Amino acid sequence: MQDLTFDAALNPGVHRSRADQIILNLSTNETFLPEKRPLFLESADTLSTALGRMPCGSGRQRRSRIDSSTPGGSAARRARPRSPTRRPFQTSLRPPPSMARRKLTGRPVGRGSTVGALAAVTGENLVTVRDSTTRPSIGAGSSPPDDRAAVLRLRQDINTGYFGAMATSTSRFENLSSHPDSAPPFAPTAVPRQRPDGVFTTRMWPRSMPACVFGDRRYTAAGQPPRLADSARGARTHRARWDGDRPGRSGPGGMGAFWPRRGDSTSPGNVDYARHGRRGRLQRPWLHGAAENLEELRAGSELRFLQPGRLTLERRTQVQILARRNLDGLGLGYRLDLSHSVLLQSFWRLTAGLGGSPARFDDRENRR
Amino acid sequence: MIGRIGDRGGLAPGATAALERAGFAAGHVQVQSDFRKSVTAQVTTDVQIHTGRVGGAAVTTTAGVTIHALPQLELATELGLTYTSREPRYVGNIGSDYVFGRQLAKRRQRRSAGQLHFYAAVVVADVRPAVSGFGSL
Repeated sequence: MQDLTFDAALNPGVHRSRADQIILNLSTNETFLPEKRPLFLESADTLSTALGRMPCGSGRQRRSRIDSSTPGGSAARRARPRSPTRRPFQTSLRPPPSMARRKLTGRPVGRGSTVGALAAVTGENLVTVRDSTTRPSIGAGSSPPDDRAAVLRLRQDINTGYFGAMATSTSRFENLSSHPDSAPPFAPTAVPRQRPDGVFTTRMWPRSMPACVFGDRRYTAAGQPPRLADSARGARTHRARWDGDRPGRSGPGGMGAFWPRRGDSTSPGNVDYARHGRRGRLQRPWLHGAAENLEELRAGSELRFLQPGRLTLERRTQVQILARRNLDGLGLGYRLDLSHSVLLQSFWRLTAGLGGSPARFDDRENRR
Repeated sequence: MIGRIGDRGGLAPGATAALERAGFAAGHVQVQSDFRKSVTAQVTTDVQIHTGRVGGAAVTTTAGVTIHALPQLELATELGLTYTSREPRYVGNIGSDYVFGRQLAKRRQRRSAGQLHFYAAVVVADVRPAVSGFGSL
């Protein structure tokens, strides 16, 4: 027990931290800032792993799921370039603060073994969107404690490397009423217009947004309706009515030209779809109660050999399992990944992996 | 790389827009050349095949070259290709019914970037402490 260290902190992100460097982010990508908070730095090697970042704020990333495709982007603060066709959105996002965090690290078992445990509650995530052309401020989204996460990390040194295992559990609570997607804080950039041939055309959101990748997609006719299983809630029929490739038709069949080649969406009254593209997620007017409330369990192990071989300098094998379900008990599926990586004597790295997942539900589609 | 197999991001085909996401089997291959050299290359390929009667497949390939022309100058270019077909996607609803279609998506993207690292020092004042003979030896 002598080697165990217990740390606990409330709101650990505000004290004894060096100031961040100023970064002006004009892109649509997140800005990652180096971790400087002492609680996260101390014994960080115990909890670090090649499996990826820990949930809930290890490494401060100015990023938000709800803001990753928001006009204006997800940096701490940035402004979109002004142009006649683009509205100058300004998005101000604060990183979700860690409200409380407990950490236990040490070497309690014996030589070569390390254990680390961490539990944390992450606070509300604030995002403010401003549109200077219409309203100076169009509100802020906030939510109750957003994430609750726990991490368990084990590591055992072996002769030529180590064996590590890590399990994380995350519960995510998101209040849709305060979610920016629930009520777009600003009007769509364009209203569907009716062309002379009777087709309604809606301009997509500015092309520089991530949503514009949809502009190059095209739906094709379905040979047969996809046979999808009924949802867990049952009593609903999923039908495929798809004429595809027939731009110019109104009605459901006209959706075949829903994402034509260059960012024009063609269907009557499809503003909701534009919202989908803008946010990167589907807009559901009837989706109420929660936007994404789920529990996620992720476990993985890694076997790493650091002893140079005849051809290799390092070998690493990883297995990871991910399971998710929403708070209604609806299983959101699981997935299994297996990966193997080799660093050759020539310092070339080869990585190969296999993964798979059975059919699963998307909770954002199954609430009504 | 583990955990990302078959996961092409929130805006990529297969994410966020399916009522029931199809099961899939995925493969991932990545080759990265010697990162110590002045010119390094990396190729990554992801293949995803949807299982069951739904069908569909997706391939994503990314190839990039990074050139360290000078110790402080880095030039990088990357080409990405995405192709997916027959994946069922939600496109709307009629009353209580959902309407699905099959998607054909082709995407080609290029990215070029350059980074010049420099350090500039600004001397505001040259302050030299006066040496006095305090203390004793």
